[in-house]
Amino acid sequence: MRNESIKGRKASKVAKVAALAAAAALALAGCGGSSSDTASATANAEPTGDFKVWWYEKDTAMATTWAAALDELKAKYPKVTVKFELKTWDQIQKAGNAILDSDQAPDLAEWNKGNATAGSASQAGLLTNLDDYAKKYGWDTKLPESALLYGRYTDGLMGKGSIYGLSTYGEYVSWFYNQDYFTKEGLKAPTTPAELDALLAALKAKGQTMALGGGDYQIVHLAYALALVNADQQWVNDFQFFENPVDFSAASKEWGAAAAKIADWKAKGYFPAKVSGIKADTAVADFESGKNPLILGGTWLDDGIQKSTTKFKWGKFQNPGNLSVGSAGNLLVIPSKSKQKDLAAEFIDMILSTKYQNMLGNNGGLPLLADQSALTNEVTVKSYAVFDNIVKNNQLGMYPDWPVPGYYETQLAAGTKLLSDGDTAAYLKTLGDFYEQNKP
Amino acid sequence: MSAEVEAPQIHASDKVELKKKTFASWVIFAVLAIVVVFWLFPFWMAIINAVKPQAEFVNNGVLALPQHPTLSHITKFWSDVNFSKKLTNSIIVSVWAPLITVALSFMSAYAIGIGKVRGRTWILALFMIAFTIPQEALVYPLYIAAKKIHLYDNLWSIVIIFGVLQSAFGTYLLSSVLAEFPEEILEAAKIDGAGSFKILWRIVLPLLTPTLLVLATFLFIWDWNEFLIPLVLLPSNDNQTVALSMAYTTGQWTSEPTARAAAALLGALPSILFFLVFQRTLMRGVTMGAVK
Repeated sequence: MRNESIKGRKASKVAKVAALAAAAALALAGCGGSSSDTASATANAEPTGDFKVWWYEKDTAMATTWAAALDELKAKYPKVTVKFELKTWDQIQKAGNAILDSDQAPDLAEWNKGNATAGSASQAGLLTNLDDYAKKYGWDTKLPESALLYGRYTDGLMGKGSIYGLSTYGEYVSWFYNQDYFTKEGLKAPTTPAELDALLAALKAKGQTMALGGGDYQIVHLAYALALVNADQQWVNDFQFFENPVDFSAASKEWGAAAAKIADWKAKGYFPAKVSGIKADTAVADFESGKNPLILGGTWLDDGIQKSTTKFKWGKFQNPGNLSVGSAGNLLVIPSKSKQKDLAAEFIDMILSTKYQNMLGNNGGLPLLADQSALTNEVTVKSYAVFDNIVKNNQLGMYPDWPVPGYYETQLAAGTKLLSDGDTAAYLKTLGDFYEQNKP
Repeated sequence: MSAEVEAPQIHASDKVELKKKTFASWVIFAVLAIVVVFWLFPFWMAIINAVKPQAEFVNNGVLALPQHPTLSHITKFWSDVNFSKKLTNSIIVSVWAPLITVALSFMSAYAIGIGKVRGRTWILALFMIAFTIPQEALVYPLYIAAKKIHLYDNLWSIVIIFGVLQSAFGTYLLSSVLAEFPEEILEAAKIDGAGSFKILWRIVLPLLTPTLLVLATFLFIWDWNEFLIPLVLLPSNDNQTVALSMAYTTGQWTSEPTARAAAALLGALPSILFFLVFQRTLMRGVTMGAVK
């Protein structure tokens, strides 16, 4: 399709542009001076004027819930004119800093987490430091540190330091399975890596495989999920926050084992035919139509799978192993140029309240602070049960492309190649070299 | 096509040649037919998937014909992104920017092609370089410039940028056309006492109009599809163009293939319509060049 080619071409240049924008924003911040704009958390009189709110959630639980919260805010402050705009993830990724640095900056926005977006914006002084608001509203004690760290940045690096944004929901990657098929064939959800291997072998014996978008983000997530099987929290800190050097050798029990596992599964025929050319949409459709009974996917697929899967019952199980791919969700931020900082903070606090956290859960989202007994949505109950387990055991391993800019494209290309040629040495070298060359 | 026209003129003595010609024309026909199929395939995919219910897409796949066609993806996309507004914006950009480009290119090409100003080869080389610079390198300076003159988040910044940016290509193209302009006509005009401006306005412009229309048509379609610079310079939804609205069907990890097909169809349709309407002028412009 015409537009896809445009998008594809531009997408490959995202990293370049993002880097450019970041560099320029940095230069501007240098001129501007104030790089840590601390908000005044003093309570004002009744707010008036425009309140410009942006997010890019579309047809999701977050969109529904936030819209409801915005309605409540409108009713509470009739003198405020709420100006909401639906943006796109793409626009924030590519043009985010440019917008924050202009008079068109919103008063409150959903922002992409990570070093390349929220990180560089915080470093350039484009985001409000929310430490005072966090203290005032008690966010820093209410939310677990494992959810707060995505909004903490020091010198543009995520994980530690002041709060510049807040995650208000969670997401994680786990296995979706066709319950009807499993019952019929007498298969069980695995709880150990060995059982997962046995499951895949059993599927193979029945002429079945998992669905997998080998030419898409799903191979990137699968590889990291397998790396996390033997990883511990310290390794995640090393890999994501550069605390210690990371081993990319074939002998390493994280990346090395993951590469070996994928090559092994490929040799044994556990993947669908021509897997390296399959797109994520196609793989998901193959699961939804009942063609393949198993798929590794994120919670962002929950809603679509629930709506499109009409022929069978589906369930979820955690990828067996130490940690899971996942994190708290994208951030709500208050730009430095926001003219309604107090109102924006109040809105964030509303989103974090039990009322809206429960609503988020019952709309099919993954809340961070919900009252579990109040959740009635069957999808959320399924997802939350797994998520709760992951969070309780502090098993969130984040995402593999976060450490360095442009890593996603590298991992995708390398992962797709590994699926077609099974060359683990080349895969590990590509991942390791890119990491070493680009880490700060 | 030309083979068909020539068919009646054939004599008996040309029989051998006739066979050859028919064979060759069949080959050409077959190749063109295949090319047409390849060209139309994406449009076909966009059309059938734009009207296919999501459930059918999941169960029957991307190639299957829709059993119960629906317009809901198209109407939903239209209202979700306020498509009427985007359409108006895109039309403003895609009409005004080519007008600026054509006017600028025509005048500078006149100076280079007919006026034969000194150093014209170097000027043209410079223009060549100008239009090979990737937009990624230009976008940030343009952002700062637009902010300085208070045209950030204003549609006219895009009109001006593309109007000027593409005149580099326009000048290059028109200069080579004008360099071939018949010397006799210019001589005759000079003898009749016409000055530079009169020659430009009364002689060259009317003769070059078909070529200018061809240029404008191409520019319309280019400007219609521009993505990166409008993305960075137009943050507000009300100022965005059709190409930007396509991004609404794709999230960070998720996408809706049927909605995207609907968006692709809506996005491409206006430029296809435009092309069909102006097809004649395009052909005329091309044949004009051929006759000379």
